[in-house]
Parts: sequence; structure tokens; C-alpha cells
Amino acid sequence: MSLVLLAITSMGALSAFFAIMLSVAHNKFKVEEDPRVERILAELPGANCGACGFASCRALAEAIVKEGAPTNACVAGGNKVAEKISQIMGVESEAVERKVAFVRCGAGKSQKETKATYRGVETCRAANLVMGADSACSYGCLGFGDCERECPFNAIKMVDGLPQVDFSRCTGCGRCVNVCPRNIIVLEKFDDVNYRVKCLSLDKGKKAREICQKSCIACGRCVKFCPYEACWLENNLAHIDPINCQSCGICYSVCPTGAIVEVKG
Amino acid sequence: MRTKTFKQGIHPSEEKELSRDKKIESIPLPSKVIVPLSQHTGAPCKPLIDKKDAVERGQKIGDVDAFISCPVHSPLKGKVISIEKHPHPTLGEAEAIIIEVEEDEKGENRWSEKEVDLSSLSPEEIRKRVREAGIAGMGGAAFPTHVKLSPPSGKNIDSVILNGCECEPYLTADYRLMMERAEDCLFGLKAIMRATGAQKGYIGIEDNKKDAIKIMKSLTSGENEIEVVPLKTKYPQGGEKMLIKAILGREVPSGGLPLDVGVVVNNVGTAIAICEALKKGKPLIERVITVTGKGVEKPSNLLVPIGTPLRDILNYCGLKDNAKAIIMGGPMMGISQYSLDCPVIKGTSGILVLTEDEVSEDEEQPCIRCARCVDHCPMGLFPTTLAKLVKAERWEELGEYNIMDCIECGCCTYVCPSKIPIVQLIKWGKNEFRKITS
Repeated sequence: MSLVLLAITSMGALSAFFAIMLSVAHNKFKVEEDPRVERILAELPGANCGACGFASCRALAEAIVKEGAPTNACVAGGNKVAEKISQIMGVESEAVERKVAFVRCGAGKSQKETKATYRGVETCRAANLVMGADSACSYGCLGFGDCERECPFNAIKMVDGLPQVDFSRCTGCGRCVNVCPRNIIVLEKFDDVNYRVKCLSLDKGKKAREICQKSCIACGRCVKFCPYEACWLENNLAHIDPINCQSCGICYSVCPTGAIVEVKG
Repeated sequence: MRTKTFKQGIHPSEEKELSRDKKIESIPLPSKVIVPLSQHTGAPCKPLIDKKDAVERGQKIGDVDAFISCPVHSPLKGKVISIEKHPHPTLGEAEAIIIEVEEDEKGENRWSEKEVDLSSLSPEEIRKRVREAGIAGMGGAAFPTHVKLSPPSGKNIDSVILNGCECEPYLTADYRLMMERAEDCLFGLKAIMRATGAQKGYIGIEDNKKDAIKIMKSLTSGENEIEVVPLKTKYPQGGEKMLIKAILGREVPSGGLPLDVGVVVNNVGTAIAICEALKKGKPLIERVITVTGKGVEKPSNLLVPIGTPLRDILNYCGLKDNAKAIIMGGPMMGISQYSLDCPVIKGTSGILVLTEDEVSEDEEQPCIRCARCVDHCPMGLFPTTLAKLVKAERWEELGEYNIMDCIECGCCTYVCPSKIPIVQLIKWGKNEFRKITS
């Protein structure tokens, strides 16, 4: 019996001692944290995508509270998140410019030629170091899907060896842009209807046509037919000036290869 | 005979008997030559001529005002058809000058051989002539030779090593050069010693080339400052760092150059090119390559103008029906080619044609941690760990495992029982590591 009592009293005394120590330590070493950090963190998407320029969502939340980083810095969260953060911080909300990833190559595996058989590491970045793997085009998509694996929001799906971006999911964080070794993904601001050249090939028309069905062959029809002088050719590639373009769609309808596409924002 | 060597490495099947006894021969003139403006490590050249211009054999047609670079010359007389992007053996595609070849009456007589007294030439003069001749390392990496011959102030070069190892299986071009042009080789070595101020010269030759060792030994018997060193036949014995370790016992520090241990290493082919540049004033416009492999009808050692398309060379040597892969360089470090329009460049040491049953199509399997790659890596790295870090895209940690010391010799991939493309993963890792550290 005395043994049981001894155990209870000694354990009781020990726990009382540690409880006192802990509460003293808690008060003495307390870190004052602005409660707004936690509240902002709860509003942020939590993907740690890095598009804001900070290492993580927490780093951004701290930067907003302590260093006065802009409340609309979270690109992935968009306007909604920006508004909520502005409320928490008690400042006027500024609109986030919504950009999405646009892939500047329109040829899937079945629409372009291969120049060799590639056996090796199946990632775009490794393949690009060995003369661009099997792709005959030295500008276009390699098709191993590094961007798909990199996307934190599941917005990219590889279809026939070409990334398809789901604009409703894409937040414009730019991770795919950084990971693409051929730099064919760009972040763009889209209106309701847009026309874009979905090709980056600088090959001459003859060669471009031989190796790819979807390539811009620099025929100049878009330049000729554009009523607003928004199209021009440079280095065997058509360009459309988004400022002059009135989205009439004539270039899209006259393009013989389908290199000019209609993009619905 | 006791032979020197380095630690680790591999013993691939040599396969040199296919072409080792074939004398160096010339090929019929190609109808056009393709001269890439970037054949060397460093800044690419700018063309000095225009479309439709007539060019003479040996005329300088591209140059650039950068230290790490060297000019390119027209390998044959002809007319420039165009300057455009063209398949390139190491870069995939690059700007090249395409020349339509014309009959040349003067031919080789354009250059007459003069006896040259090396002691009358200043090191500066030798470097200048080497640069003007457009000489780049002919072992494969094509590093501009005049840069190697210009030790920065404060670095004292005491030894020059001439690399006659030719440790890549199949290749025999350097062996033939040592057999047929040993004297030029020796002159080149002396010129390099004069340019760098080195007192001692070594010629490292693997002991599977006994005849070459004999010839070189008899030629250098009276010379105290030059020594022929027989080396164990082992891959990669011809790697710069391995060669220095084997011959001089010195270790190049991590991230350093042979210069840091007072050594300059040059290929035997480069030495002969230097000899021609000094004695005849002839630029580097042709080179000896080995065309070999079981997919070739007539394996040979050929003297070809730089810029000759693969197609012409393989037409001359004959391609068998079961040929599957064409590799420029040796089987260990060579690069597979996708187009027969690819030209021979300054760093091309051979063309290897493999047949269907020689090309492995095994699937990659998981790593079983057998550490064979670790046992064979001549640089003492952990290829398996590096490959895993690369697969996990943990770029920052690659530095802790000294990824930049990898010489990409391919021993790890050769011995890997799981057929993991380790070298390719490491190449990718190096590229990403460079991006985050720069």
C-alpha cells in the first residue's frame, strides 16, 4: 500500500514541478506573433508555389504583415484572396492581374515527325541536353510532361504528347514556365476571345512544313489579310500584336496550317 | 613490363583489331563540305565570307575576337552556297558554312615543308601560329589549344603529357598516327614544351599498342627530357586527370585544371596538327578518323577534310544492312547521330556503326544498391547517390556529392546491372546545378 502511495506522490510531485516549469517558460520565452499572419495564412491557397516571389505561403503572410508586401501578391489566389487579405490588413484592395499559362506549340505527337529513336531519361530537361531527343523540330514541345508533373494545381494534362492547360485551374504561378527547357510556355493575360500564334519555329517554311503539320510556315497570309496591321513576320514566324489586335479572327480563318489559334480566356 | 595506371575504371572489350592494321588512306573529294562555325569549346566564330564567295583551300572563313575560341578554315577549294543552320554532331543544330567543292589543281602542294628550329621561335609566336591555324584539342572535347598553351602568370608548367592512350574501344586513329607519323608527333610535343616552358615531356601509351611504344621509344632514345610511359590498358586511361595521376602521381584538385598541378595534356593528333602549322603553315583542315564497327563493310583509318558529311564517308566504307546506330566518337563517350548530313568536325575521333544485336534495348530497372558504379568510378564519386538525387530533383544537394567533378566517362552506366542511364542523369544534374549556383 505504501508503495502505491509513494508512486502517486512522487509522480504527482514531478508532474507539478514540470507543470510549473512549463508555464514559467511559456510566459518567459513567449514569441509575440501578429494574429493576422495566421489569418492571412488561412486565406492563402497553401500550395507554396512560389509565384509571389517568397519561399512559401507563410513567408508571404509574414511579409505582408511585417514588411508591407502588397496584399495582392498571391497570383494563385487571384482577386478573391487579395480582397480577403486586404480586409484583414484594413487596406484598399487592388486587383490582381490574372495571367494564365499558354503553350506556344500546337503539334501533338501524331502531328510532327521524329528524327530518331530516343532511349534515355524520360524528362524534357534531360532529353533537351541530348540534341532534343527524337523531336525533329528544334523549337517545339518535347512531350515528356515535365510541366504536368511540376504544376501544383493539376491544371496541365498531357494530351497526345502536348500539354493542355485548364484555364479554370491555372493560377499563373509560372512553375511550368521555369521548368520547360524549350521555353515554349508563357504567361499571358487573356480577354474573352484572343488570337495567338501557337508555334515558335524559326525554320524556313519548307522545312517547317516537312516536319510538322501545325507549324507556322511564314506564308504571310495573316499579315496580308489583317485589317488592323496587327500581324507581322519576323525570322520565319508570324507574330500578333495583342494591343492592335481587335480579335476579328480573320488571321485565324486564313491560316493554312492552323498555327494561329483562338483562345477563350 | 611494369605499367602505371590509376584506381578503379573498367575493362571493356577492345575491338581494335577491326581497324588497327589499316593504313591511313584518303577518300575521294566530297561534293560539298559543311563547316560549322562552332567546332570548339568557347565562343562560336562569325563568318568572314558571304554567300557565293569563292574560297581557297585553307582560307580563314570564320573567326571571333574572344580568347577561348579559334578560327575555322575552308577545308577545300570551292564556292560558298549558304550559311545556315545545319545538323551538328554535338550541338544538334548549329550555324554552318556550306561549300560546294571545286577541282583544286594545287592540292597539297600549296604548303611546302620547311625545317623549323624551335629555339628560334618564341613561345608567343608558337601560340599565335597555333591559334591562326585554328587548332583545337583533337581528342574529343575540342578545347582551343592556344589557350592550353598560355599558362596564366603565376602558374608554372613543368611537364607536358602527350596522350596516346586512345582508351576508347574500337578507335585506332591515334595509334595509326603514332605508327605512321611518329616524328611529327615528337616535333609537336617539343613545340608544346617550348610554348609552355615545360622541362619534361611524357608520351603516355596504353600497353595494347606495343608497336607504337617501341617506335616512340626508339625515336626518343637519345633525349633525356622526353620519356615514353607504357600504361595499363584500362578505360578511361586517356582521361586527363587519370593520365596525370598515372604518370606523375599528382592529383588535380576538385574544380581545378591540369594547370594547377603544373601539367598540360595534349592529344597526339593535336601535336601533329601543331607540327603541320609550324612547319608548313597549314591550318587544321583535315583530320584522321577511324571508321569502324560491325555495321561497316570496310573498317578503315581515313584522312578526311573537316566538314565531310557522314554520308560520303559511309558510302566509301560501305554500310551493312543490319546497321542500327551511328556514333561519332567511341562507344563510351561518343554521341549518337540522327542525320547522315552531319559533318566531321575538329573533335571527331571516329565513326562507329553498331549493328542491331549490339544495341541494347533493355528496360531500366530499379537500383539494387550493388555499388558497382561506386567501385568503378575513376573520380571516386557516388554515381548511384547522384542519380537518385537527380531523379528526386534535389539540385542543391548535388554539390555535397561533388557532381561537377564527374568527367562523364560512362563507366557507371557501363557496369550498372539495372541499366540505369546514370551518366545522362548526372549530365542533367550538372546542368541544373550550374543554373542554381550561377
